[in-house]
Amino acid sequence: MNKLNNHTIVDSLLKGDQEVMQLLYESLFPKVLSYVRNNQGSKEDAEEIFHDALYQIMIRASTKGVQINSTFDGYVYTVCRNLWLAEIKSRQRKVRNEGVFELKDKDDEIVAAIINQERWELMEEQFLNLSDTCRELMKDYFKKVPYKEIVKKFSYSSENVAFQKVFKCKKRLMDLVKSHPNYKNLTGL
Amino acid sequence: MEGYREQIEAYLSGELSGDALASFEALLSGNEALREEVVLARQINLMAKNEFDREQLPQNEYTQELRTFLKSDRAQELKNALKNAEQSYQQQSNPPKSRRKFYIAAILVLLLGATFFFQMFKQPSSEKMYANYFSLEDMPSLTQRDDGESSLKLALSAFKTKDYSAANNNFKEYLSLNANADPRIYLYTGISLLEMDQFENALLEFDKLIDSESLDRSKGYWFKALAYLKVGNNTKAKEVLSELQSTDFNFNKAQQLLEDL
Repeated sequence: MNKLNNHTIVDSLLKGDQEVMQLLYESLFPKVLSYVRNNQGSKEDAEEIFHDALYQIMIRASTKGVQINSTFDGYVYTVCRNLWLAEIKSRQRKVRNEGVFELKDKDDEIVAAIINQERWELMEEQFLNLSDTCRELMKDYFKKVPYKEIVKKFSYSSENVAFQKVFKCKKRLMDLVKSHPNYKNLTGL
Repeated sequence: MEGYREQIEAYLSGELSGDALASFEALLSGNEALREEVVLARQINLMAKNEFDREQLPQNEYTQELRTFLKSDRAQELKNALKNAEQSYQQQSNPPKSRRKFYIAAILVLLLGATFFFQMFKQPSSEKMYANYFSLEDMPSLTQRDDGESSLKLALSAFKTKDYSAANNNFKEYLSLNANADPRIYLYTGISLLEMDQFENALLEFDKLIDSESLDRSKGYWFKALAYLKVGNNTKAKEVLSELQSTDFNFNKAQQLLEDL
């Protein structure tokens, strides 16, 4: 599949090219299947996720457009992974019965999944624009690593210094995210 | 907004309560810029956890455009094309039922007749390959000064006696107290988790070693590949193995294993 460039693949999908679609199923579906199976899912789950991922890409390509910066295979895999993670979380919430916000119809679900994916891509892109230290700090912050460990790891003089550094980086990330041209599309702000 | 940083963080992590919470919420309702800041900070935290804030689905031109397109005939066409491809793929990988019955019967006959023959030549199962290639000798020894009943010592001795749950708990405790702990410990936590059938968590541990600066980081790849073997995911195992460079740990064994696969 990787012999074709991303543009050609997306174009073929939009033309409904059965040969390319088949190729995608053959080369990619087994990977997605084993990912879903290894993460509490069934073959049916994998089929649904894979279909939704390709459909999502086709919808995006038909509207605002989709920018794929990695290989097409890698990209589809990431979309599938994000879809499956969201699905697992929504199932967990259902089990725990925490006031689930039920989406009314399939279209709503697709729109929500597209927005989710684009937010993820925006975040990923801007995260990479942070300095190396900021990236490391933010990773720890997101993992909720205690400040006293951050102090040790980065040899800061106190927890207060660590706190200031983390928030400087978070502020930077927020500014980067906010300034992204796609930001307004993806948030209600 | 600078002055509110700590409050925003405390608010988002649910640490505010009582009066502090009430007064922050009052502040929020009267300050739009602050509200926007809180929403964004919350979005970033959610995105980092790969969580999905469905209630925050925006209602704007873009989502409207998506909705309109989804209702169009063109969208239906695309969906159908995809369905067709999906069906042909499924038929290809699962022949129709009536024929399938025949195939199954034929295969059974063949298998029964040829069991003996197959036994001699059959490919070892990936679980078996895992057992063949997994060696405790490949584990780094975490020598340490004798400092009494440290959690690391307890962890290692539990690991030795295959009490993986105790091992894992003690390793965790040790890691939480020692920020600069030897990253090779992640091999031990990874294998303990793997033995407890927590495959996904085990992979995360191996990744921690791979992402570390340790000289032994290539061992992370080796054990990660073995983990994939254990769950029968040979494709991923191969992928991981092919990341090993000639100077890396167990490179020759990895080549051998790749051939077996």
